[in-house]
Amino acid sequence: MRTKKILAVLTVLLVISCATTSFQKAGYDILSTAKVTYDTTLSALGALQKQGKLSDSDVQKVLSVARPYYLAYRAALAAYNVYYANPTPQTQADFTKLLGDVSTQLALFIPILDQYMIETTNLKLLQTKTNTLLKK
Amino acid sequence: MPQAVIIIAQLILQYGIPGAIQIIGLISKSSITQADLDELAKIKPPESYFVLPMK
Repeated sequence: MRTKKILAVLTVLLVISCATTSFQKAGYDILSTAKVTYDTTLSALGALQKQGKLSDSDVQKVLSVARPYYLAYRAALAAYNVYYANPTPQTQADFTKLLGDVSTQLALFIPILDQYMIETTNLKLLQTKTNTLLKK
Repeated sequence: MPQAVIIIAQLILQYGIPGAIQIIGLISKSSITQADLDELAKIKPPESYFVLPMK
């Protein structure tokens, strides 16, 4: 009887910790992908500029979408750090909201990159992953 | 869910209740570390990727 009770408590604890870890991991994966794709994409665009294939006005156009994306990412990361240190429904909701902003900026970023024939598969995949997490 | 119960039961049988609790604690601990978070913060502003005209 005692063992059954302990088992039940342990099972509940395990399920709760798995749910937290799962969201924590999903959030981390999205931020990590967002960072790597941002870095890869802007590095490619920087290389295009060095080759003379990107004019100053092209660079300004890219910066006009990259800046808000960068700021949204920083804000989401700050919220994730708070959630990581203190995983409560409130900190999770705050992080999810800011992740929504990253998703919004991402949607504006992709069409600009398409214009310069920059590979956007990873960004589109990131968008899908972000939207899936936001719907949970 | 039943699988989790079986795993926990096996842990208790093998390591006893204190040992099982310790192992579950280790498993459920996030694999994401502070170093991972520090890595996420190493993101450069977009301007740093381009050569911008001097103002």
